[in-house]
Amino acid sequence: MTKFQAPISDDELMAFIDGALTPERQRRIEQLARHDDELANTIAVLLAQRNALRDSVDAVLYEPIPQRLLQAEAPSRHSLQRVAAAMAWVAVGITVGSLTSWQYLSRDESARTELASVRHGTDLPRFVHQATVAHAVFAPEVRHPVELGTAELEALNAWLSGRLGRNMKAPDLVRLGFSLVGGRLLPAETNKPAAQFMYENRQGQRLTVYLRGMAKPTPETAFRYAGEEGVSTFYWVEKNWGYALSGDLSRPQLLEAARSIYDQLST
Amino acid sequence: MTLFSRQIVEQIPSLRRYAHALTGGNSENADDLVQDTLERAYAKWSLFRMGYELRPWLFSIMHNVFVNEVRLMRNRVPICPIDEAAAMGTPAPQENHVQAREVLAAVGRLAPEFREVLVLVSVEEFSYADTAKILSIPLGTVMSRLFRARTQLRTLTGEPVLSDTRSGLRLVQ
Repeated sequence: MTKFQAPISDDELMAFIDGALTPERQRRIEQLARHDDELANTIAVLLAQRNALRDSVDAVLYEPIPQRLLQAEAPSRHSLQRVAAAMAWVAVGITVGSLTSWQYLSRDESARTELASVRHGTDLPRFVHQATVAHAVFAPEVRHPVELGTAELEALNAWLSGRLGRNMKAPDLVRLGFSLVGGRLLPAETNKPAAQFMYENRQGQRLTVYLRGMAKPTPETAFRYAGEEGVSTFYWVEKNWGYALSGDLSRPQLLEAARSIYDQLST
Repeated sequence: MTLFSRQIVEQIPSLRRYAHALTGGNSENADDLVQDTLERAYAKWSLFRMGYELRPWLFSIMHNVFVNEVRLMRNRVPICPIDEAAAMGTPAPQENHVQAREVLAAVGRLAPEFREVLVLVSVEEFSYADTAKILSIPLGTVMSRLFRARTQLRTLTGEPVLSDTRSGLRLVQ
C-alpha cells in the first residue's frame, strides 16, 4: 500500500479535500501547496475527482421518485400502526368507511395517497391552509360575513356555479342545526377561484364550507382532519375538487356535517 | 401519513443518489437497494428514537442492506480486483478534469467498503465521525479507506499517481 509522508499526513490531506480542517491548518496546507507542485497537483486531482463524483450522481436528486419506492412498506405494518398510534406522532387521516357511495380508502391507501401527493407536489396543503385562513377571516365577521345572503340564494348558487365552473347549490345543514348565512367568492389559484359558504347555529357558532378545483391533479382522499391556528377542519378531495369544512365544533359534530356536505356536493 | 414516513420520503432522493453511486450507476440495482432499505426502515421504526438523527440512521440501514447484497449477489454489482481493473486500460485523460461518467464507472470498480466511505464523505457530505457510525467502523478505518479509495480512483481514471520525491510528499511502498 502506498503512503504519503510528512509534511502532511494522509488523513490531513483527506481532511483538506473535504474541508474538515481548522482554518489555520487549511491555510497552512494551501501555503505548502504554493511551493510544492506535486502537492498542488494532488490536491487539484482529488478535488476534481470529488466534484466529478458529485456531478455524476447529483442529477438523481432531481429525478422523480419511482412509485415502488413511495409504496415501500414494512412487512409487519399493522403492528407498526399500533406503535404509531401509541407514539402519538401520527397524523394519519381519519378514514370513514361507512359512507354510502364513498370510495373507501384504507388507512394504508390514504398514507400512500399522501406519499403520492408529496411526490407529485399537489397543492393539498396549500388548499387546507387557504380554507383555514378563509374561515379564520370571515367566520368572526359581524357585519359582512358573506357577499350574498340567503335572500339571494338563487343568485348566489348561480354566481358561484358560474365562477367555479360547476353546478352546485349551497349544502343544507338545517338537520344539524345550522342554517345558511350565505356565501362568497374568494381568490385562490389562477383560474381556480374558491367558494365559501357560511352557516350558523342558534348559539352563534359558525361553520364554513370551502371548495375549489385543485390546481394540480390530486389523488382522491378520505376525510382528513387538520387543526391549524385553532381552527378544526375536515377536508377531502374528490374528482380533483377540494372540499374543506371548518368550524369550532367537536370532531364528531364536524365529521357528521362533513358527511352531509359530501353527499350534497359530490359530483 | 405519519411524520416519520414523511421524513423518510424526504430522504429518498439522497438515498437514491447514494445507492446510485454505490452500484456504479446501475439505476435498477440502485432502486432495489433503496427499496430494501425503506422496507427495513419501516419495519424497524419502533427501534428508532426521536432525537436520533434520521438521516444517518437510514444510511446505516442501507449499509447493512448493501453489505448483505454484496455478499449474496457479488455478480450483480460488477466488482473486479483493482489490478485487473487498471489493466482494463481506461484511456488516461491528461487533464485534471475527470469525466463524471468515467468517475462513476471507476467508483463501481472499487472494493465495496472503499466505495461506501468515499461516497458517504464526498457526495453525501457526512462527517468522518458520522461515517464511522454509519458503517460501524473506527474513525481510523474511515480515514485509511478514504485515502485508499481516492488513490485507487486516481489510478482507475488514469491520473498519474505521485511518484516524485523532490517534495516532502512522496510515495513509499
